[in-house]
Amino acid sequence: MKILYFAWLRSNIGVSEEILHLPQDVVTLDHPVRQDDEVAFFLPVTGG
Amino acid sequence: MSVRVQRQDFDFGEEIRRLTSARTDIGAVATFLGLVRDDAQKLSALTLEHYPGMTERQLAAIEAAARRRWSLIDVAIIHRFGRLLSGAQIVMVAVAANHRLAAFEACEFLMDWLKTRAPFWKLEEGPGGCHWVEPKNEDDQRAERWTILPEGSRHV
Repeated sequence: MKILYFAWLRSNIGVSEEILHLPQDVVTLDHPVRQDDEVAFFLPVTGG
Repeated sequence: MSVRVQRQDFDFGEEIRRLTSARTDIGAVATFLGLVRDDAQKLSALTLEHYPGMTERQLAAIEAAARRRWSLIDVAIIHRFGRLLSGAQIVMVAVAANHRLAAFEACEFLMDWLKTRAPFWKLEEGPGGCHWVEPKNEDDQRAERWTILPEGSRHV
């Protein structure tokens, strides 16, 4: 699974993305999380 | 309809002409142009980071929300990313409608929602180094005003 980091999260972690290999049984409340999913941490936005 | 997320600059006048040319039913165009502001010579540059793919989808969704609320003829949204110097153009929103009230309101709505829902992040560069811009409560409050009325209840 691809994980994306933006803005200060990326600065602090030092990488913009990582590939994680999930155990088979990981789920959220209403959506199974799969290996080919993309997860992005949505910081409060500051565009415009 | 036009939503663009791009590194390069845009020609504000040309975009308005494109929006209004070949049509005669437009009675009003309301626009917003956002610039890189350096109000105390503290800013040397502003870098806008975004989430490619998702940004375009979010902007299209925000435009669709505006079209559900107001009767609009056309909308143009252009937002830049990358490193921009002070004075540079960041974002433009233009709304064409039959009448001015829909154009004014939709333009304000689009900017309020864009600022709080589109995945852009600003990094300011100044003499003291770089820092990520913090979200403003005021922006959240402005965006929140539009959620008081249910969508579709306010056609102008």
